[in-house]
Amino acid sequence: MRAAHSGDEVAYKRLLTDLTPFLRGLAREGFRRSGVGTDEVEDVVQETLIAVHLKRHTWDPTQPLVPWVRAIARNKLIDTLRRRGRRAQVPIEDFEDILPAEVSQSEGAGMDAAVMLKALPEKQREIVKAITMDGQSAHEVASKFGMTDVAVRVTLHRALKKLADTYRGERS
Amino acid sequence: MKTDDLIKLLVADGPRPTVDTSRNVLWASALGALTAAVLLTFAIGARGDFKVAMYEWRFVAKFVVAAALVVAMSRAVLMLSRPDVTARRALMLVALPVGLLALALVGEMAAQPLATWSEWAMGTNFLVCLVTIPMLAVGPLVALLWVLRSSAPQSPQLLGGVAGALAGGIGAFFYAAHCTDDSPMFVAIWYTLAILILASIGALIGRRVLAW
Repeated sequence: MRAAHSGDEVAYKRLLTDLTPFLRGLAREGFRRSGVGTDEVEDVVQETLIAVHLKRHTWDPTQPLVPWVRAIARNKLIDTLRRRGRRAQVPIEDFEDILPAEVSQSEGAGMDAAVMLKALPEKQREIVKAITMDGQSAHEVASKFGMTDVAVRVTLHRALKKLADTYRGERS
Repeated sequence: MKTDDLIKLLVADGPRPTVDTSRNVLWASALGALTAAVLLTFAIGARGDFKVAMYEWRFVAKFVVAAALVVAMSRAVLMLSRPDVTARRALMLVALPVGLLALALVGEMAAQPLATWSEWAMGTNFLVCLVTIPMLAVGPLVALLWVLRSSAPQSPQLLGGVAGALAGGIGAFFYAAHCTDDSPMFVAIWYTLAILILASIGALIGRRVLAW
């Protein structure tokens, strides 16, 4: 995360990738304890990743990262369970010994990408598509659409906020 | 959407410099206090006998309690702006101003005959108190909620409520200079009520604007 703050994209990608199985384990365990199906596990994982990303500037570099991420994951899990009408009681201490969960064949995908993208304005949608499906960098996207790098990032950032709203609101 | 694809998006979004929430809260409080001070000076006015009243302990106690509330709630706001802090620890801070107010209340009860208590408690102008404290607190509340939008609270509602109480403390501090009701009995009822109103408003707004 420290490296990510200074703009090291490789380190940031590795961090998020490494966090994912951990988050998946947390979410799966939380769903299991509440006695609900695990079909929304990946949505919680993704919602947590976006939240960690959108709030990365508030993480205090002098504090350990894992408790911070775990707290965010717990909050997102409770939100999701509440939306499903369950009384969510997930003590944070319970999460401490959970083993990371590997992704199985059918997992690794959350809400239908087409549905999520539909919520975005056209420009945002195009940029998101270019990055996810064609694997382009922000810089490549910029030259493709004839935009500046900054404009691409601003648009992408708006898209991410919008996606976070989609996870939060339109999944009931 | 695939989680791996999402990670690509997040990485492409690029870095963002760290935000120092404690510094921002300090600035927002200072700016809010400035708006309250300006309102007090030019619109509301300090009471005429301010210089004499300064030697009366009950008058001074109002400022001490309000300042204690401001200090305690600033600390609580900083704690609650993080996702990994439990509410109970932060809310215990309210014991500081409440304890001081209780002390003043005991002193007042010892000093005043029982028959006059209700008169002290009702004071002369509780309606003005209930209107003016929130009015002075609007600036601080707006500034605080503004800077807290970038924070990551476990409970947006609670953070908004505590920010409301902090704004109320700032409002009460400046209102104390105008208000001629000095009895801790009056303060315990009407100042508290005004601050609770602000905490409720803060919680209501916080629930919307501080959600993430």
